[in-house]
Amino acid sequence: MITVEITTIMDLKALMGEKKDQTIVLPEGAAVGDALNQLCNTYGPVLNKRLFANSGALNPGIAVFVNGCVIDALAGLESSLKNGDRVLIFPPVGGG
Amino acid sequence: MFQGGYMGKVLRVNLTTKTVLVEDLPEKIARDYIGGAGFGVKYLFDEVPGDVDPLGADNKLIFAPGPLSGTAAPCASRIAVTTKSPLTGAVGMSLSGGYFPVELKFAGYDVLIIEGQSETPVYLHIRDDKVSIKNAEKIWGMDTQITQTIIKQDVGDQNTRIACIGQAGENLSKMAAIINERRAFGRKGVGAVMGSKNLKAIAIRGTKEVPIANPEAFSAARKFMLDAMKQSPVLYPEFSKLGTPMVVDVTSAMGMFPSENYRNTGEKDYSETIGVEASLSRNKGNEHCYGCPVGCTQLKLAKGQGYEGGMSDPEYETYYSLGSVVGVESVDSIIYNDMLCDKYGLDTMSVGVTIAFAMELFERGMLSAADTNGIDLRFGNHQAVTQLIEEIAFRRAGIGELLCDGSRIMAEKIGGDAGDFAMHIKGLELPAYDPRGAKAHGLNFATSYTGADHNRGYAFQEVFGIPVPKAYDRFAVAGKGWLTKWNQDIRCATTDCPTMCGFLMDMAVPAIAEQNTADLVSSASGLALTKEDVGKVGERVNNLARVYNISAGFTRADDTFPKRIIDETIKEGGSSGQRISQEDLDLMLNEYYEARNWAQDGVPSQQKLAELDLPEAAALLEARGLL
Ligand code: SF4
Repeated sequence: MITVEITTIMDLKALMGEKKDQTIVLPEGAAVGDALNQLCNTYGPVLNKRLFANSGALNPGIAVFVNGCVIDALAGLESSLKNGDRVLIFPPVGGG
Repeated sequence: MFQGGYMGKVLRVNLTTKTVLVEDLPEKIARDYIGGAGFGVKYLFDEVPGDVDPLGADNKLIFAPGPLSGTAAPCASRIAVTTKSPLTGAVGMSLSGGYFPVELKFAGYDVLIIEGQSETPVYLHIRDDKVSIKNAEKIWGMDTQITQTIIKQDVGDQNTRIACIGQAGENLSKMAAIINERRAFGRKGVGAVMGSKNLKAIAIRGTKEVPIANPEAFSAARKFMLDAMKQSPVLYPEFSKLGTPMVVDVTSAMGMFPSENYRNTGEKDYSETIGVEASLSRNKGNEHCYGCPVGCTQLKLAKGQGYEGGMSDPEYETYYSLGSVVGVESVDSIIYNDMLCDKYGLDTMSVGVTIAFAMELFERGMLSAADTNGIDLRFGNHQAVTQLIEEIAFRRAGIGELLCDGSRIMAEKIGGDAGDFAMHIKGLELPAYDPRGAKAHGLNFATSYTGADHNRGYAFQEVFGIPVPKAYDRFAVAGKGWLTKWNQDIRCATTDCPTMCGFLMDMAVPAIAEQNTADLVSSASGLALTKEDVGKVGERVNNLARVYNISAGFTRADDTFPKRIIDETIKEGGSSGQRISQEDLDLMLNEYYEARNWAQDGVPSQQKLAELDLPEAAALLEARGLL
C-alpha cells in the first residue's frame, strides 16, 4: 500500500470534508485517477460531479498536480503514484 | 482614413510651450502596432532617446487605448501609458482600466502625448476638440480622491473622467502611480514622470462615438467572445465573485506565495489568514470596468485592529506586497494600506517589496532605529507599514527619503551587501510569485521589457495548470525559453495592444486568442488583420522595446534574478527544494534568445528585425556597432 497526501482549496475543500490536507491510502501501482475515485467514494456524488465530466475526463478548469507537476504534462489520470507523493487538486481558478 | 475602431487622431500637448497639436494617426502604425502598448513603445522609440533623464523635460508620457476601447467589445476599457521609467531606466509601460480609457476615445483621440515640463502646476482638460491647460496650484498637495472631486467641480461636469497623481507623484517618488477613479497605472514610477512635468491631472469628457467598420462581422466576433466568456469554467461566478484575491489560495497551496522578503516562502500558510475566505468576509460589492460583464474588482471594508473605515479594492498582488512579503497577516491592514497607497498615488507592489527589504535589513542589524525614524521595522508589524507609506509619499527626511525611490536606489544608498536582499529586476520590484516555483513565470520577470513584470508574459500554464499551447511542469527548466517568448508575444498582441483585459485571455480564449483579436480588431477597424499579423505585432513590440532598452544601456547581465533566488532553495511547502541556479538561468536565457532569434548577448539579429520590418531598430543597433 502507498500513502498519498491530498491538498485542495476553495470550494473543493468544502466538498472534501472541509479538509485542506488529508492523507489517503492506495494500493501499490495506483494512479491519479484511482486517488480521485477514492476521494469520490468517500465524499460522494457531489464531488464526483464537480471533478468529472460524463466522459470520465476531468471537468474543464479542474487542475491536478503531482509533486508540483500538472498531470497533463505527465500521463493525465493515468499518472502513477508512489508512496509519499503530494497531490494538489484545484477547482477552476484564475486572475492575478 | 480609418473606417472604424480608431478615431484617427493623435493629440500632442507640450507643457513647456503650452501648445496643443492634433496629428493624424498613420495607418501603418495602426497596422503594425494595433494600439495601447504597441503605440506607446513605437512613439517612445521614435521620440524619446534611450539616454534621456526620465524626470527631465525630454521624457514624454504616451497614453494610448486600443481600437476596441469604446466599442461594444467586452472588457476593452484599457489604456496604456508608456514613458521612460524613472524606476528602471527602461521602457515604462503600465495599463489601467475603469472608465478613463474609453473617454479619450470618445473625445476623439487614439493617442495622447504629453511633452515638456510646465513651470507651475497645471492640469489638462480635454472636452472633445477643446483642449486647455489649466492652473492646478490650488489642487497641488491634494490626494488623488480629493483631486478628482475638485476637478469635477471645477469643470462643472461630474461625468468627467480623471487620471491624476497624489502627493507621491508630486514628491517624485519613483514608485508613484497615476490613479484614475479607484484604479491605477500602478507600476514603474509613471506618476513621478507626471509630477516632474508639474501635471497634476488629465480630465477628459468625450461625446463622440467610436465607429465600427463592419458592424455585422463585429457583432459576430463580439458574440463569439461573450459566448467564450460564458463557457469559461472560472469567469462566472467564481472570478466575478472572488476576483484576483483567490490566487492567494492558489499560490499558497503551490508553495510559491512569497513571504518575508522571500526568505521563508512556503513556510507559513498565509491563505489561512489573508486568503480568499478572510478577504471575502470584508466584501461590500464588486465594481466593473466600462463594458465589462465580469466585474472582478472586489470592494472591501476593513473591520478592526484600528483600521475601521478603511475601504479599498486590493488585488492579489497587494495581499502579497502589503501582506505576506512584509509578514503581515491582517487583512484589515491590507485593505487600509491599499487605500492609503491609492490616496497618495503609490504602487502598492513596489512599496510593499521595498518595505520588506527594509524590514530584512532592520532585522539583520543593517538598519538601526535611528535610520528608521524610530519605527520598529520587524516583519509582521502592519502599523509600521502604514507609517512607512506616509513617510514615502511625503518623501520625509530619513526613512521616507531612503525608501521612496524603490529597492535598487535604496540598496545603492546603503551600500555594502544590502543589495543582496533587494528583490527587484532592472529596478522593478518582484510580483507575487516566487520565481523558484514557476520557472517560465520567473524567466518572464527576468526578460520582460519593463523589468520584473508578471503581466508582460503571464505563465498561466504554470500558475493555473492551463495546458495551452501545451502542458508544462512548472519546476522544469527546459522549454521555458520558448514558452516565455510565446507568453510575452501573445500577451502583448492580444491584450496589451488591442487593449483587452488580460484575464479574459487566460480564462476565456487562451487557445484562440490571436484569431479572436484578429476578428475583433479587423471588423472594428476594417484593417483586415490575420491571426499571423496579430502574432507578429506581439513580436514586433517586444523586439522594438528590447532595442530601446539596449539604447538605454541594458545588456544580458540585466536579464537576471535577485541573488536570493539564485543562491537560496525554498525549504518548505509545495515548492520545497526549488531554486534557480545561475546555470539554470543561463540555460533558460540561451533558449529564450534562440527562440527570439537574438544573439546570445541578447541583441536582436538583423534577420529578425528585417522580418519584423523594424529598420529603425536595426539602424540604432548598427550605429552602436551592435549589429
Ligand atoms: S475582468 Fe476585472 S479588470 Fe478585467 S475588465 Fe472586467 S472588471 Fe476590469
